[in-house]
Amino acid sequence: MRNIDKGYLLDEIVTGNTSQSALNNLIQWIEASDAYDELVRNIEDVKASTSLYALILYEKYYELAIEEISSIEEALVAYAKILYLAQVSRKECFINPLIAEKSIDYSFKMKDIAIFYDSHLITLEDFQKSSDYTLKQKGEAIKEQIRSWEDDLTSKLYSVIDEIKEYPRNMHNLKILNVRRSIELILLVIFDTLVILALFSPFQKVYEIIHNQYELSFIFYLTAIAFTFIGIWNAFFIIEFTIKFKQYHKYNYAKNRVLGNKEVVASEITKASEKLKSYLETCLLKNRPLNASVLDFAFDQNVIGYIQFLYYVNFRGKHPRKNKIFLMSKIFMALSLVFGITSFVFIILHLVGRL
Amino acid sequence: MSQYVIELEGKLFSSWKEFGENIYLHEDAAEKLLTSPKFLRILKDSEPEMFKKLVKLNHESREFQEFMFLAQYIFNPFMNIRHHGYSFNNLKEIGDKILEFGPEIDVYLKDFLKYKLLTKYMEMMGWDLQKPIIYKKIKELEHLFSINENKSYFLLGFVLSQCDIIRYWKRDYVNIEEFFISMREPFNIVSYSSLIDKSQYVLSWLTVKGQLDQVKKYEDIVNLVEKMEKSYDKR
Repeated sequence: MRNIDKGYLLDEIVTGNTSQSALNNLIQWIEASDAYDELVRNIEDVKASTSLYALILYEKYYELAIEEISSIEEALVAYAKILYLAQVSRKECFINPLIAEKSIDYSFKMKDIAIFYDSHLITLEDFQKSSDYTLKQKGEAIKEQIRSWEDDLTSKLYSVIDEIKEYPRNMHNLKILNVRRSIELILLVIFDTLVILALFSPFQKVYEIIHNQYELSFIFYLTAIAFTFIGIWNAFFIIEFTIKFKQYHKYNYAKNRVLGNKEVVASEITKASEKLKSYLETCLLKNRPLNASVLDFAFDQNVIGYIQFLYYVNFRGKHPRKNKIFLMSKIFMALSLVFGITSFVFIILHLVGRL
Repeated sequence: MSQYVIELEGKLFSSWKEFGENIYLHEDAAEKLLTSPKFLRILKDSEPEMFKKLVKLNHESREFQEFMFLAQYIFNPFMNIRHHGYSFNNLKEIGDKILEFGPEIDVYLKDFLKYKLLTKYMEMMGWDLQKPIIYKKIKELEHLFSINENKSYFLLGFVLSQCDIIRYWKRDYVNIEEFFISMREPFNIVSYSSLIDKSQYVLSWLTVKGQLDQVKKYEDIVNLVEKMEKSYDKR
């Protein structure tokens, strides 16, 4: 802390006078400080983390609101908070091994994680080696820490599950073969049948028309275009159907398994934390290094992924419905219908001798 | 003491009283004398009571300053307050002297609290009973000295001088607003700011002026920031 800021602080507290130039200078100094720089860098990881502690940290960072500071006192209090947050926003301080993510936390080992014990932060490695605490104290601290990690995971998942259940806005029953798609499939089957019948027709005249033996270019080309569109329509329908199948399957699976069965989620969380507890206690008792990766203890990322997916579907309207494939499928369906029906009509007219 | 003459830093004294009155001017030389076997032998022969008191004091005192201050009153019990070149006729003069130097601190004036010389003098003179309020206040400041030396030093100055005017760099300020307006000046702000915590003079004055809550708020904020800075540096 600079001495000159003490002078302005005392003046402000006693007389109520705030020197604007001193305040601006102080804010610039704070923003140029190592602590602020470190905090801003750390916050990127904090934002990316799904840990509840990380969420709290991010809220504290957001509350700093440096641009709204209007007194020397506020600036110095904010600076104290920045100094604190810069320390506790380091990755190892908020990482929850039960929610570790492969893309972010791959380099962390269990020994690097910091816990808050006896009023200060200490890594698990230093805690294990410390002679200041008994084995019993260490064991109790580990149990307490795992319980808080478990609570973090549980509260996060349960609150989302409960929120979705309480306010189901977009949780429709999605069917892979709904009415529209069923009609489209029927039409496709009809047209495919007509194409096959046309190509391999037992009727000589139809066969000759299709294979252009009358040199009736117009009908031939019309039919060829229709067949092409029908073929493309088939392709898009199959692609769309496959995508929808996967999306709807995931959605229905997530909805039934996860949303409808919180107890299963709870028991799986308990299994994950028991595994972690067993590892830490064994290392502690046998004085083994804590070299396991944090990813080894992460709770089933699929379940977390399902819950996040359902959240976006329900609250953000990101429904697995429309996409470009859907649009292309409809375009070619329309073209197939137009050209197909037209060529069919012309073939019939030719056959009855009108053409 | 008619057959002996005491020499102290070139001066000759023919009475113990006169010798006692001058000890404060030459403490180092006096200390050598008071602990020399020859002097003690002479004292024992001529003034056995004084000798006993001096020996007892020598055993009880742990600090040089304390020993010298109290020793002089063995030879002259009714002197005014004298210490390391300073002579004060009353408590107010001590207070005025402390404030006169502000925001600088005189280490010898600090001895009055550090070695509890003032309360010991008051007890010797019976002032602890005659002036109980001020005696109690000085006792409190002696206790505060162990927590915050400089603050208790300047508070002593204000208590003894019974004045709430701050004398800062040879200029007197009666009210708070006037003081801070002056300290905001570019030629004052840097020096004044650097001395706030170090000297505690301004904080003591504000306390005397009834701004205790404001002083506490200032101290809380500064302590918070400095604690976080230390913690951050140690990470």
